[in-house]
Amino acid sequence: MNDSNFIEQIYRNLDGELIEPEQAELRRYLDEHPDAALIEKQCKAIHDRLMTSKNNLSEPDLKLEIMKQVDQKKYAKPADGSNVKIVRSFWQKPAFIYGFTLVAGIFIGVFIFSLFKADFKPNLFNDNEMKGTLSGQSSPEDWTSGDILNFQGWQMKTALRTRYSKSLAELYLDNASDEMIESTIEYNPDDFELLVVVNEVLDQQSKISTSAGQVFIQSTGINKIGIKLSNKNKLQHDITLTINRSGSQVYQNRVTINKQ
Amino acid sequence: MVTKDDNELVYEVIRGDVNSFEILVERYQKIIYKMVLRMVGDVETAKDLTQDIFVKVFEKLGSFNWKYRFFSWIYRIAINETITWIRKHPHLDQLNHTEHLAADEQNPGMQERAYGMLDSGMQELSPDYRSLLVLKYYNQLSYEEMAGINNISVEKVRSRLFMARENLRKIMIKKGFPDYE
Repeated sequence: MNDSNFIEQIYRNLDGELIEPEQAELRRYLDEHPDAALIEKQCKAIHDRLMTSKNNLSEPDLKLEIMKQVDQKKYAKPADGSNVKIVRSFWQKPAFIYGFTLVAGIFIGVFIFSLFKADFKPNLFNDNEMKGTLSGQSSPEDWTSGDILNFQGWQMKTALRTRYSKSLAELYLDNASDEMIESTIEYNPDDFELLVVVNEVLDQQSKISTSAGQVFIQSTGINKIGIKLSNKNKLQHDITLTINRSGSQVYQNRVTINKQ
Repeated sequence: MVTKDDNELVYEVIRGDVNSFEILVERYQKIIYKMVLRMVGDVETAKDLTQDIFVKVFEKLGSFNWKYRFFSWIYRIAINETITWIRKHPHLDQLNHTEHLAADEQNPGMQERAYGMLDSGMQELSPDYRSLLVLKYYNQLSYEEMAGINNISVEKVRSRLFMARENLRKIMIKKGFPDYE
């Protein structure tokens, strides 16, 4: 306690707000400071007078007078309650509530849509997309949709789709895996010539290498790879897909190109 | 008989039941009258003002904001009306006070002198400070209730009340308040 706040403490004490140690401290301060003790006496005298004078006034009954003066018909109203005006705060106003609901609805809608967006996206392997990426929209080739391979293992998924014309073959490999997997596309180099490999989405840790008769892909995460081959003799041939994980083969199958 | 709460009665009034307003008048007329009397210091003025306040309350019931307590709302109207009256009639306020209010007191001799002097001292306070002291001492409201009525924080009530009491103490020193001797 100091000289500046002891008066505040005096009033708090008069209001019964001080706890025992605070009261003791105030008492000590007043004992040590006669000037402060005089102020305390003054505060208490006024406080006591104000407290005791509160119930000494007459209480006239003004009800009749008041009721005579009020406009008795002011709220006499039709049964529809149309003269009842409900005053709402800004946050309770219908315009705010409806506006907020609309904005929240749009936001939630966009959010949910974004969650399922992948499901709405056209499949990577449809014919149109393949034309656009590997052969172009104006490709003169007469394409035929070929075999599709699907494999789902523990925390991995692979799909290989194909299409072909007499002289060309396109393969689209779609890999999704938490761990590193190795995908090998094998073909006979006497039958096919590798024209192009397109990495549409390739995780940074993933890589692609090619050699005669083989495209080798190491990948984690989600990867989409397009491969375009030239069918040298325009005959029917097989292409093999092998998937290895942790050094072990987990899947192998083949697709047939240019089925006769 | 079930006692209806204030807001329920307000709702009934604005639905057209004027008798419900009578209940509200009965419930609040004494405390409002006493507060006004302590503020203006004159019985007749207090009666007139109290009537005006209730008429105003009745007129405004249609725009009553349901988020407030009726109790705080009527007090706020009463204080504002009274302060407005005091500011319009500063001289009348000073003259009437000691004469009428002191006459109401039942304390003879020295006691009467002390109460009369205190009432007179109250009249020298600004109406805002006076209203706080009236609410605190005569209407015995809590800090929270006063904060609700004045639409300010409890801390602000506390600091304003401190100023009001200090101002009153200094006024009473000048007057030679007998209780100090």
